[in-house]
Amino acid sequence: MKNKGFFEWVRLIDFSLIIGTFLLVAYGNLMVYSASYANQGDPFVLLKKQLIFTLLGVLVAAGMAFFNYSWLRHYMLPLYIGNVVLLLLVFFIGQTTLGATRWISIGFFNLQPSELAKIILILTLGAFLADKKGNVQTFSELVVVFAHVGLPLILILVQPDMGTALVLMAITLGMLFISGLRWQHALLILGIGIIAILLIFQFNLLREYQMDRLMIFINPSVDPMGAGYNLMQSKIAIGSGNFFGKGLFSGTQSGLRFLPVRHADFIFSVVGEELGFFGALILLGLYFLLISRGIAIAMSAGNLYGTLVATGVSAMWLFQVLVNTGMTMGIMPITGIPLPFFSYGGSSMLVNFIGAGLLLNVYANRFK
Amino acid sequence: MSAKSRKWGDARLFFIIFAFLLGFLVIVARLINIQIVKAKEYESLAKKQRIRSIEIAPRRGNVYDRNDDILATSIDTTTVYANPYFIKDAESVAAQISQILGIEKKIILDKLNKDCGFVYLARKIGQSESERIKALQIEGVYFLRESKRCYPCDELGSHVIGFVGVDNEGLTGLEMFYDDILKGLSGHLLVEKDPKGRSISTGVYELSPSTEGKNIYLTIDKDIQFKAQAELNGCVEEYGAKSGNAIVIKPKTGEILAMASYPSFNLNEYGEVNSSSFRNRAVTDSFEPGSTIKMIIGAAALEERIYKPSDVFRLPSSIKIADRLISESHARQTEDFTLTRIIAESSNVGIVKIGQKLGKEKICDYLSLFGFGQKTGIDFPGEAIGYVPPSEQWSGSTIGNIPFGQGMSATSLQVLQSFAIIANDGLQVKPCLLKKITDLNGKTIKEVMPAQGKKILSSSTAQQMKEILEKVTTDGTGKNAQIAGYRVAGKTGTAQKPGENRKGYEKGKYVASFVGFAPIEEPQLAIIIVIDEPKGNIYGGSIAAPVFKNLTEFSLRHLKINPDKD
Repeated sequence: MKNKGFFEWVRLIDFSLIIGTFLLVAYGNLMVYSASYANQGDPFVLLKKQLIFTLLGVLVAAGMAFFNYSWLRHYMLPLYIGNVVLLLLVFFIGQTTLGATRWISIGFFNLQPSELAKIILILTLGAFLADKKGNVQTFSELVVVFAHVGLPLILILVQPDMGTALVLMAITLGMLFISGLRWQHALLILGIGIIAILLIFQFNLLREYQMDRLMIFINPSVDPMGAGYNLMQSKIAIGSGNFFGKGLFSGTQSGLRFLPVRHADFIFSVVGEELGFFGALILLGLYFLLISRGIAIAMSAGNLYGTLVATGVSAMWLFQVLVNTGMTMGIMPITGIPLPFFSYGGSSMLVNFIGAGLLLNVYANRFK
Repeated sequence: MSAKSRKWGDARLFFIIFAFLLGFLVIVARLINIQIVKAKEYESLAKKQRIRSIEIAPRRGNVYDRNDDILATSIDTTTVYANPYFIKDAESVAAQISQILGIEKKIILDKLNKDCGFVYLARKIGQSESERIKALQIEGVYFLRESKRCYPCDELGSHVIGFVGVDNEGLTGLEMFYDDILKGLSGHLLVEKDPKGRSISTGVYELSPSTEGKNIYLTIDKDIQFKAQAELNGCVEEYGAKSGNAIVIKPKTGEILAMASYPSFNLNEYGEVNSSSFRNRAVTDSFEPGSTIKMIIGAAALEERIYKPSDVFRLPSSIKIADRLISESHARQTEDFTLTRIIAESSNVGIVKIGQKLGKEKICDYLSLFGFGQKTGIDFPGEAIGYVPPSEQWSGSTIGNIPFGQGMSATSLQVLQSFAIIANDGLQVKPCLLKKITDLNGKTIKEVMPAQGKKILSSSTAQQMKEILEKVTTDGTGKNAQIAGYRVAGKTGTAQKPGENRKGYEKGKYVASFVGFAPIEEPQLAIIIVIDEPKGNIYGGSIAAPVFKNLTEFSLRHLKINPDKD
């Protein structure tokens, strides 16, 4: 670093990514507060926790500037094993909430290993595919790739955490596609996916609430007080926000608690209601900036591993943003996928900052 | 990367950017659809589900008697309701609540399993029960304050007071007639509610406050009412009669001091008796009054100056009118009767002769003048009109019927009112039950002033008739009505009951009555006793007159009215 001039140093930093991320978390923290201040007890309790994890996230991302991401490639096996062990631990010492066992209590907070699994999978699958030099040409190679992904995926599915499992699939497909997946294989995966969905319906493999959510997705007014309640209330919130919204802290849908989990999965509805089309568009613009930077970084990476890691992070964010916002407006099924940097949740916040740190690292090391 | 894969990569990059843009485009399009195109629709939905109008039920006013004794009041009770959507364990909640309320578990469980957001679990329960349910702190179970009607005197005045339904709406009697005064005005709150349907303290806008119901004071005297009911019940039961009624009125003002009916019922348990017991028969039922009507015929003859009280009539033992033979109830030979004696001894033949002289038009005019065939206008729901056939519809034998009160019908109140006219020096006063209205704090809002009487009979005729009616109790059919120390006027009635098919009369079925007033010079009370279908003895003079005597004697003493006779 000493030898380089100031401009050399500046060229290593993706300022638009950093600024975009900071605007996003600031916006997100504000909305978490607006969605939760009317709760009983300390109005700042959720905001405080969210701020703590934001700061932790910034520190983790900054810490990642001190090593070259390529170094992580050598730790594929320990990372993979650590991932599986954490996911297995959930079954033994996990905390059960609302019928799902997803969290491990580690003192001051509940870690969600399935969130961590997303970023670990990006690193291990990236290393795995990079070792194959980006060539997954035969069917048997494809099977090996899916075996790699399959183990953590199944452990997450049985928690059950359908949403995160779908994110893992999106990450896998994105990384496979960029590493040269053959079109025939892409079509094959598509075909298998369709068959799997048909089988799931045929043999009632979905839990009742998952089935309900899917049916509600098809027709939300079937049961406005039951399972369709969330979606109906979310649409009412967003719709009644109109162009400029009802004003920050003035959402009647969220303030009066018609909206369920409004600080987490349905926080986009709060944005829509309180800040209107205008506020929602700004939020989507920030995501657009973030993800387009991710794609650009993937394209400009110095090696295939960097391209794959950046692609994985971008695919994760893109999938989560589209599914989460789509869900609040009734064009995606309700799957409990959080909005990156925005929804309340510690594990998710840390994982997203790790993702941002990785992107910055790939960007900084693009000439090596 | 090789040149080939780089080329592939370009195609893939294009595909990825395309997918990325398309995804965002779809989301923004949907956003425009919901927030701009359909915004109005969602706005109204949002408003509808958070704003609700709530009715605040006011406290119902009390009912007092003329001496400020409470006849009906409202006590605070608790109503328990639930939102089944928020009940987590219906089984155990039903078990706990049913045990406290002492009702079957299944009843509660069925309610908790309903697919709606509101069910009543128990309405208007006592404090100890509601406290025990509150202590359970069950999520989804809520409480509401409601007032419940309570009648401290049970059977006393039950027909007059009436009762209310579960929503405190007056259903019968004065509770119904004065419902608008008693119930007060419901207030309305516009409430912003949260998704559990509960109101939010900061989001309440009062549209109109509730106004507490006003209190009403009746003309009823609790003690006289009690005595009237006791005497009536005793008589009806002694003679195995079907029903009966009695009224005590102040002739000068029309204030009703007591109004009793048999069969009676307990206002606090009205659900447990046959609804025919609810009838305030003195007002709602009409009957053929019989010989009490002879007074009207006599008064008409005197007022028209056709006869004087002392005019003498030679009366055969019977008289033939059209195809009917009219005879006396106690057979006798041909005898000379004065007009006074015709009424005192209740001669059918004599009164028919006077009626013939009066003519059917005059008879109808005077019956109408005395209030028959019209409502008295008492402040009570469901008053019967009675029936007097108009003169043009009279058959040949009608003149041999109406003068002694058969072939027409009237209510007890109408008969009593006609005698009150005599007592009141020829002035007709509208009977009434309401004395005053006060607000919550007892401040008088309205006092009912006795209506100015309508002069329908000359004072001299009224005075003459008073003296004739006194003879009924001294020398005639009503000796049983005599009261030591007081001069009493009255008239007996023993009427045949018409058959079910409206043809002729039913053998052995009579209505025995006595109506009169005291003391004669300045009458303070007018009282009627009507006993329907007594068994064994049938005569008004022997069944109803003693009841009249007991009730009048008690009432005179209770009201501290000085004796007018040694």
